[in-house]
Amino acid sequence: MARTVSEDYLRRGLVSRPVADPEALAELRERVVITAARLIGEEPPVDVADHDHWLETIHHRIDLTQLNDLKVALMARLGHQPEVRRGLHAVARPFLDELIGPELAVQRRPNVSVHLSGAGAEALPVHADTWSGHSPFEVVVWVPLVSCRRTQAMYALERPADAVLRRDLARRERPDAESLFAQIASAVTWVEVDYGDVVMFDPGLVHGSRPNEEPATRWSFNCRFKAVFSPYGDKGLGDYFEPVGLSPVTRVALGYRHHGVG
Amino acid sequence: MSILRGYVNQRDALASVPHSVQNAVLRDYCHRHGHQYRLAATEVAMPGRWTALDDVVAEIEAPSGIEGVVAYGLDAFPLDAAQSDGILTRIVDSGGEIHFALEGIRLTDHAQIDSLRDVLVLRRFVDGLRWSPP
Repeated sequence: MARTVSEDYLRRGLVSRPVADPEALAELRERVVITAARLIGEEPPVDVADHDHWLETIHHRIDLTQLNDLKVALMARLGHQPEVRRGLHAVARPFLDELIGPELAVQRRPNVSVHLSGAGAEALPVHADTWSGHSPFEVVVWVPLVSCRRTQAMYALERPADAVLRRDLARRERPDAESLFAQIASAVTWVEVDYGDVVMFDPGLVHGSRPNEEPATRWSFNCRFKAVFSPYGDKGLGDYFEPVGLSPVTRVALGYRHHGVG
Repeated sequence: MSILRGYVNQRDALASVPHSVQNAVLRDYCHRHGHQYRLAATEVAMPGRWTALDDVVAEIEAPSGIEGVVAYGLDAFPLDAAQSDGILTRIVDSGGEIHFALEGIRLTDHAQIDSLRDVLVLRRFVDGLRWSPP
């Protein structure tokens, strides 16, 4: 019998499911294609069926030196759009309801990741989000805009292997990122997913990306969600998160004043 | 592009952020977003008094050429939601803009104030909800 999202999250720390709202995903992808195409001076493909190919082959049209400018400009254009946050919420909504509940804080500016295919491609060093100020009360929602295989995908240590690493690192000095990856390489899970899937994972798990040796470039969104009334790390409400789905009780309570006061 | 009056406040949550740092953030924000920066008004030290902020609002309401205010962050405004709401509303009613540099928030209409209202009120309740590694 298939395990529930909660069971997978508790056991593995990493859950992958078909998105809850395919139309919202298609809209997100179209938004990225149109924005990115204009940023690099191209006409976006007219046919939606060509979006996949356009995204996967971007490395034929830009190189690593142009990648940073494209990512910065994409973040500036897309990060502020409420439609992007709403879309990311829609694709994962029932799973977040199960893992966290409906009363959420959502990352105000979701990240867009472009993991270029080819020689000299960048890696995202091994890390856990909690090492840099994220609260373990968050859930990372990772939404691939193309199917991802092997090094095109991200990797993560699932909960049992991550627990082993925690114990091991507690006994000795932490190695640099490359040495650490070499140590865990045989234990990591490559998060191979199809377009149409959404991944949710624990920000306390070690994860990262290797140089993309596959023939296709990866495009993905990542966005963090947490219960609005749960402990925050360095990323606070207002600067990093904003509330969504406040309950009627919360709305009434937020406006409460004692009788005769205010 | 707008002409914005800076506003710095080193009380309460911003006690550890010197004026010089707040000013640098305001200048950088205006530069990045193409606004003209006008030297910041500095809030008085007395708790509960918003003299400088009131002056900035009056400046925006008057035909002074100042089109809005840029504050260091949400923490620079009154924690009391009704008080904060009143200030934001006065500025927008006079056609002005409010910018919070740290959060990158720009408010120009009532709908935007409405969407920020939840954040302003909730921050009172989640301030103590801090996670730190055990």
